[in-house]
Amino acid sequence: MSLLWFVLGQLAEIESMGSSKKIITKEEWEKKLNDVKIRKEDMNKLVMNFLVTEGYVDAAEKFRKESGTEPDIDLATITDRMAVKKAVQCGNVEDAIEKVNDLNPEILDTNPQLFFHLQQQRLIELIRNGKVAEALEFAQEELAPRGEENQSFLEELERTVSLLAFEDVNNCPVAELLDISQRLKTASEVNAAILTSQSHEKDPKLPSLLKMLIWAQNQLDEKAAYPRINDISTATLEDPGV
Amino acid sequence: MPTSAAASSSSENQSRPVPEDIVGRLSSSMASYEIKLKALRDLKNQIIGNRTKKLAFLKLGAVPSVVSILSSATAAASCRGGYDDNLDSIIIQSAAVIGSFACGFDAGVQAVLDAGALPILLSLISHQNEKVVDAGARSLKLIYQSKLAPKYEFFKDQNLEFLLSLLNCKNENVTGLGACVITHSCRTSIEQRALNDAGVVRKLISLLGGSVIQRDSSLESLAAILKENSEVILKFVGPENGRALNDVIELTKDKHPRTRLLACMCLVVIRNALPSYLQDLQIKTKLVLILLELLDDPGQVGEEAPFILSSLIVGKEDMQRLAFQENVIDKLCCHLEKGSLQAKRLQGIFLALADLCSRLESCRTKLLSLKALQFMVDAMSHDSAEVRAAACICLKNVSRSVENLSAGTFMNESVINPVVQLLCDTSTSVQVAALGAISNVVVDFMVQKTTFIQFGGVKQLVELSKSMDSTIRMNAVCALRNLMFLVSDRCKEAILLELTQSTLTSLICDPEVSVQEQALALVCNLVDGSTDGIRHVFADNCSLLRAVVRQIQSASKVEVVIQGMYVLTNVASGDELHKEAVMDELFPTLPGGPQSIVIKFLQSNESQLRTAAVWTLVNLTLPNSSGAFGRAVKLRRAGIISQLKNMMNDPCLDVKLRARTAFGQMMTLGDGSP
Amino acid sequence: MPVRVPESSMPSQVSDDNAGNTTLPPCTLLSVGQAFSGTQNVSSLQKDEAWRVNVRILGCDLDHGYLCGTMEALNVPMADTPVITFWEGEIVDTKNYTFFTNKWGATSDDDIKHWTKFPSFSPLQSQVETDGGKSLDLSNYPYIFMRWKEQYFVNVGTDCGLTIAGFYYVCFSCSDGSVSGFYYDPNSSPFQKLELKSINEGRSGFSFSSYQLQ
Repeated sequence: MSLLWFVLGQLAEIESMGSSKKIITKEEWEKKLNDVKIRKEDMNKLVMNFLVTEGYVDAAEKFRKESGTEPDIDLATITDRMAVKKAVQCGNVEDAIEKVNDLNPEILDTNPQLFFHLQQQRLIELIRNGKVAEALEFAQEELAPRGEENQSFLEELERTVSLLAFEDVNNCPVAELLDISQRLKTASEVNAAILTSQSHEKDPKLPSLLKMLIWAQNQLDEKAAYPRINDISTATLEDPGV
Repeated sequence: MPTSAAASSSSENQSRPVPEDIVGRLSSSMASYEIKLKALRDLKNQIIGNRTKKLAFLKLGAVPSVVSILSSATAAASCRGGYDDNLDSIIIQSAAVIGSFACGFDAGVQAVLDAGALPILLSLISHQNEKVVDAGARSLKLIYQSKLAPKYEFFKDQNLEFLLSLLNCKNENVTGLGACVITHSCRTSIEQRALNDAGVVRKLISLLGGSVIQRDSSLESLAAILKENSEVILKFVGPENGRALNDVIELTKDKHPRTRLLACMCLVVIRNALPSYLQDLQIKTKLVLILLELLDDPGQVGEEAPFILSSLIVGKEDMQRLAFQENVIDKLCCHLEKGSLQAKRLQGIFLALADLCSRLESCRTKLLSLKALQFMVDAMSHDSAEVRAAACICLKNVSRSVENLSAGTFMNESVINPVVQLLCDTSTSVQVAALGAISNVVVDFMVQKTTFIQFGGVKQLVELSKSMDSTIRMNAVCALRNLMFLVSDRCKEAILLELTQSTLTSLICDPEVSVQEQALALVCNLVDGSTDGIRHVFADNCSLLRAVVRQIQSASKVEVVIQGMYVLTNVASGDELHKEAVMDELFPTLPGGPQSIVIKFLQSNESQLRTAAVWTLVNLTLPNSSGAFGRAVKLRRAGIISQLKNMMNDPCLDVKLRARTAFGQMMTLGDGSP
Repeated sequence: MPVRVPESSMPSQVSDDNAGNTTLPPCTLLSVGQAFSGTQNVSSLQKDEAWRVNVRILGCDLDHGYLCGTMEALNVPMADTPVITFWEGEIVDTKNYTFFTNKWGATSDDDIKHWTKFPSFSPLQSQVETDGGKSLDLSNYPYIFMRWKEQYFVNVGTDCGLTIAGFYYVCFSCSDGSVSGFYYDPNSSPFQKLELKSINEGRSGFSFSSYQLQ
């Protein structure tokens, strides 16, 4: 976070200086970085927010003990939420639905789009497992009525059912539905809905800060050569190339 | 991941339980605790999110069975006291099932209420097990979100105290329930004041700083308590509540769309009741822009946004102008263009567009330039009655544009056909809306009105003019009246052939004043134009003329009398026979008879009635007509001259000028004395 | 002649407070459906010429100072049929519109030059020159001043050789329903005079009709 504000600050400073491209050495940069004061508690909160939102319950628990940062949500609820998420990721959608309903029956009753996507995922899993007859019956009984209620659901349903029409489902225009990424997409949608129902942010703050850092660096690139971070995971400051 | 794949396939392999079995297990007295619990969970998982299933189980009688399970479980739990996990699970599951039946499904709400679930669920709120409380509160909240739920009687017994205890509870589902009860039941200004006096408003303001659920439900119930009650609003914005108004304004910038929406709703309620607040152009503009942006929300928020936008601009020209400047019309049309919208959203967008076009010609011109007429026409065949009605209301308001009526914009097959079809819609509100649109569209001055007649429109209108529903009758007659405006003799004949003298006569004497008025205006248009039209009132032994005269003699509403007098004015602009007939009706020559009713009209407080009456006299005394002299003598005898003299300086310019004309004409004719 | 009495309540009726009322005309002779007939003098230095003109009022919205209708020119030399145009009128009510046009290429000098051609304007002139007439209450004045601007041709194309670029300064007499006006278009011959009288086709007297927008 400190780096971000710092880069933004540099950006403004250099902007005011004019057009010539400035070169900043690593030493200068680190010295300036050290002058920026960030409260430790704020950093900890940011980390906790990430762990809680992403569902790393053990890590969150450990981090709570080590840093004394209190999470803004009951950690037990994370376990339930993760179980749901995991069930979808494993293709066990029916189980996931039951778990969500145990957690809070309102979620799927008041969120038709999410409910449809879960049912759609269920259909995809049936097709993946080659249960054609069952898939057709499920599509007709459970999904078709939803399609009647909503035009865009109908279109998605038609797309999904078309999976059944291809010999080689892995090489068809709708193959992406069978991809693991589809499961992840559905899983993260459920995750977000549960978080919202618990009055919690559905996205962690950290990634958006990182996005902003990248944006700021790109802006700064045009004005100056400076110790850039190319690898976010290590956050190594590269020597400014000329 | 071989393990999970196995788990998945095994679970999918289980055949889903059949509805009949589930209901059988629920209602069986032999079934064990485990079997009942399993049946309840199965039921819950089948109906959540699935309207079709809810309906199917409803028909199988599942609701009473579940409520009776809940009832006996709560009874058993209260006997036993303390925790009993088995009983609690049964209670939680059955409460969840009941809640799901009540969620967004009116038939389900009704069944739940009929089965007597409400008091049992209310008793769960004081349960020791927090999860039971959660389940009960959630179900109750869903029930109270339906308009079918009974009104919560704030003044009965300890109800107000109970409500406050809900709001003061730590459990956010329970505070949410408390707020939801207020939103559902607070209607009268007495209730609003009582809730404020009991400290409810203060409590709700404090909840604005709570969790998302608490914040949202507080905003919603604040809107209910403040609605159209300037007294409570003044207290709300007053110093005792600190910066409550500012807090709400701040919440319009909240990151949760629903919170932004509800904060806007609160501000709209405040503005509509007390226009002096939130007069700042910036806030007004912001409200419009936020609501517009919320329309993009794919869920419920996006569906509700246009309704709140509509309540912000309805009847307020300044807001309509502002919305116009912020390109609201273009943006709403963009949504329509995208197509495949939910019914509620479509309805809201059409209503907002209708409000925008209710007064300002610039808005109508803009909307028509965006080819929006086609959207309305398309929506007229929508499955949802609300959408069909909203599309008609939109067409109705757009077709208030006289410029476009003159250009014949609406009088073509592609518009007329679908609207006329809606006249036989199964929904009364669609029929009324379609009648409204037709009333305007048929005013069309340029294109032959025969277009409308050819499409069988008249037949339908005549049919509806005999409806049992007086609103439909009134609107149908109004449409016929507008159709009759400046119409050719041939069209008049065609309309009258369908309508018949006798139906028109009975419409003039309709029990509803508004129908009488429209029917008389229709006759007025019938006898205007070429003099040929006048003969219709003399047909059938003067049945129409008699009916008109009866109304002006006996009607209690001045509007009816005015309209009747204009019919007589028009008839009196015909030939000698026509004039004499009017003369005979208004001034019957009975020796020693009562004073003519015309004198009463000339002395009326209503300037429009005086105007109408003087116009009749002007027509009766036109000096160049042969019988004028004789009529003038009669009028003089009836005391008209002296009455007109009194009107030479009438406060109403129109009356004054006409009275002078009539007086001048009678003077020209002389008084017959040598 | 819409006769809805505004102050009366109508409980029996679904009252749409939004209803597009054709609000009360200031004078019954100017109400919707009323017709006028007369001439427009289009004489130039070269020749004397006048067209027969019919006018009908089709819409009136006093709240917005709005009036509209059609104008039919009968013996137009270049056209083989009568030429009908739709016009919209601004009523000088000193609330919605003042005596100053402020558009359509008319300066305030042009305005005064034209208004002063109406004898009924002279009592108002000094006040208009001071404050544009803003302080005048014209609601009981027996003359109504308007500007009529033709908006489109109803029955012929724009290639009919006629122009509707200009507008009319109009003075309407409430007592006899006569209309006089002057056409203003910097590119046409100046002060073309319009003179119309209230008419009732084939009738011996005045007749009224009305519609009610919902």
